[in-house]
Amino acid sequence: MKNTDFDWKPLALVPLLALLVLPLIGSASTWLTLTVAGLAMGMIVFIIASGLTLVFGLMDVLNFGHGVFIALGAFVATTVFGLMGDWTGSQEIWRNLVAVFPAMLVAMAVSGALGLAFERFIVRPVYGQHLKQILITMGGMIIGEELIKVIWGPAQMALPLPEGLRGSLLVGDAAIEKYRLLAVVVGLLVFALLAWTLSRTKIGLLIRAGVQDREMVESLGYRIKRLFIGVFVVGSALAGLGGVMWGLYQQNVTPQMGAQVNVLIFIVIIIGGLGSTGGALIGALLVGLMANYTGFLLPKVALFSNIALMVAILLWRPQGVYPVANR
Amino acid sequence: MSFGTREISAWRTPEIAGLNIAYVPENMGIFSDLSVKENMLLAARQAKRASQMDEARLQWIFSLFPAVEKFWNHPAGKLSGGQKQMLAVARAIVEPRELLIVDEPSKGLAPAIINNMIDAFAQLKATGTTILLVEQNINFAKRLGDHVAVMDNGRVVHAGTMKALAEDDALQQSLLGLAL
Amino acid sequence: MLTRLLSNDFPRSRVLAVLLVLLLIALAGAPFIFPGVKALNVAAKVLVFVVLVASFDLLLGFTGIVSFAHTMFFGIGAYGIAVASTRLGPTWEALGVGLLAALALSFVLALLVGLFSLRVRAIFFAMITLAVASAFLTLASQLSDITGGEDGLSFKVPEVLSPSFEFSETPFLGVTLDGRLLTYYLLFAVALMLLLALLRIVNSPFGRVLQAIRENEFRAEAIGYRVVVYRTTSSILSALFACVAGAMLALWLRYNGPDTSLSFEIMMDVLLMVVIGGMGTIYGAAVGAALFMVAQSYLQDLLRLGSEAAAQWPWLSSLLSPDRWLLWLGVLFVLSVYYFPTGVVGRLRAGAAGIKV
Repeated sequence: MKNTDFDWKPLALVPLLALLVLPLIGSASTWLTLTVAGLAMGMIVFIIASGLTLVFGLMDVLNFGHGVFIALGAFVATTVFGLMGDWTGSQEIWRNLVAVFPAMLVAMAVSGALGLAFERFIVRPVYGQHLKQILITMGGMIIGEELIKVIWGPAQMALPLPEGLRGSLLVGDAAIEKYRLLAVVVGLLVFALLAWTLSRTKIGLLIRAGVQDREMVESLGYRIKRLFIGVFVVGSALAGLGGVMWGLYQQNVTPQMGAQVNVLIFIVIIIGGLGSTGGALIGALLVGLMANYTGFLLPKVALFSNIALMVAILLWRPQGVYPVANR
Repeated sequence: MSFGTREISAWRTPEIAGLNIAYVPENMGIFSDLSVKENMLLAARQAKRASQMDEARLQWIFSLFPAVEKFWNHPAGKLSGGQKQMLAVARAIVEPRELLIVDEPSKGLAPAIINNMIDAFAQLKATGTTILLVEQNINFAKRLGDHVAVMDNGRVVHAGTMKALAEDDALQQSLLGLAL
Repeated sequence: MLTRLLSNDFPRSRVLAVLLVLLLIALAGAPFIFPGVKALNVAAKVLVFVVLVASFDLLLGFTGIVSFAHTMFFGIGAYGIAVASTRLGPTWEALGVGLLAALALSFVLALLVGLFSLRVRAIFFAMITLAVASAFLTLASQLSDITGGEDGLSFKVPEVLSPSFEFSETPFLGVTLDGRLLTYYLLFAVALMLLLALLRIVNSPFGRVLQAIRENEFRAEAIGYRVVVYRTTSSILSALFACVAGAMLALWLRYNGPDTSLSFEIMMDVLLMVVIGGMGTIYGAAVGAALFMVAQSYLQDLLRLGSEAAAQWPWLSSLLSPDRWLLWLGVLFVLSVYYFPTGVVGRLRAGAAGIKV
């Protein structure tokens, strides 16, 4: 960005992993399908994880309940889709998008609103006490999950893709699902937006500075607490968006999906370095790719492979690939 | 504790700073991953973008601390100790402030740089800024201070005008163990 | 003599002492005092969870380590018994082999986990243990050849312990004297011994050092205690106790599956019990486990009543549904972390000492 020696090694891990796996998979077209699937999944996980890592980086708050926003977003979207049947049923992509984008926006709004409440009532009373944060945010997630069951019922619900987004494009021999490409695009947009905000706006500057040295930023006259609430709400909204996309990816939603994705997100932000958005992106892409490659090659060890990846990275850089200074 | 007419003991840090007080901490408080420009922009509370910072004031700061201009786009972490100290002070004065609290600015600095800093503070004083300086280096303090308080183990053991202290060798000897 | 038994760690509160004595009597005489299968099941579960929660308290309350992988050791113990009994038949040897194998595996894993915890910061560690526990759960479901997969393993226990074994024709105080009774008292004896052992551990010099490390690790290291050794030992001990608790559970249920011992819900339950009971007290585990188990079994009935009573308001009825037991648990959990940070035991002790908490 500036005259820094940009630390490119972690970034190189992504193509490195992809290339290493190529001989194991054999066929180039399968590899391409899996890679796109992995990148798509990675992007969705990134959208969810970005909020969490900033929340931790900025305010040292450990939100073990981040999963609740994922599930909420997904369920809200399901309801919205239910209301827009004629738009999702159509074969025309633009019509589908007219259904998808409002669903995303509503999901984000609802998740963001819940985030506001969550911060006020669950997180704020326990600033600075990590153990209590862990316990309380987990409790909050359980309450949220159960409330979702109260509202939508405990069973899994289908979240089918709109007609126009189904199916795949053929690139040579490889079938690449249209939805996955959309996921990659959305993910990149979110990343671009976050990166732009962080590097080009004053608020972004405040966030980056606050992640490094919160007290100094306060000494410069800024009320970090307010900034934090904003970051928390945005993080929750992003998790809601991620939830919608994850639900569409799996084509179903369950109340437990938050808890399930939680584990993946933690792995991602640990790999990336707590507080680093770029790190979260790399971590997410690696995790997404890993999950898809091992899902194909060695299905039984899928989750373990991600843990092994995390351990390997921690052995190389114990603070994650892009550790944030002053921590 | 009060500032002007306000009783501020119970106030929180950002609010106190908002009274147009700038603080240069002992550890400088530089954001190493941010560029020098970004460090300055952060301290410029009125500016939303780098272009909104007072150009004339920036030029004045550059004249006092050339390193700040030289490394404008570089990460602040790459600066040397003395340069970081200059940046810390530069940050504190990027906008006019009523009160400047500076904690041991000369610590670990080369004598040449210390002179630069004394010049800077002298110019600041001339603009009407009040400076609360905590210093171990009596020479530094002597050239700038109007009032002085000497502390020992957390207690104020002497307070008075700097002129009186500077002229009284015996007093210096007893308080500081040396006469300068 | 009582002093030595309790390792000089008295309840220090009259109310607490009374509660504990009542609990002891209730558990000791459960088959006779509380008729019916359900009551005995609750009592047995209390015994199992007292040990599990107390072992977790050693780790969390005394050493200050947050680990979500605790249920992993619980599961290993349970599966040890289950797998051995399934493979080697319902013999005492099988039980022995299963238990020893489980303890050995727990030891090794706890060692690894303990050592790893020192390489990374506490926050990382907590998250990593969460990931590991999830992975283990998945593994247990997938290694269906060994573990019976999702369905779990049902197995027989040695004849003396099985319900069909009656060692006396005539019922005593209205209770048939069968293998079930014997199993219960076996569990009771083991639970009591383990609890006293934990009391001994935390009140020993070792335990004091653990607390010192929890309060200020840097200082403890500076004084000369090798924090690595103490923390790892604590992890291992805690895991071993949890492992035995798992074995106890499997023995009682004569069944084990992934959800019985490895689920996330159990981890949350343990957390709740240790928080409500009181962290860093060991007695808290007993109080917490008892309160929780009783509430879980009987509160669901209460909720059912409430749900039916509120049938005309579907949302209220839904909120009060006994299936949503976990919701109220969650609320209780959050409230206790805020208002009851020292738990029941802490509150009682503070009250007795005249301190306002």
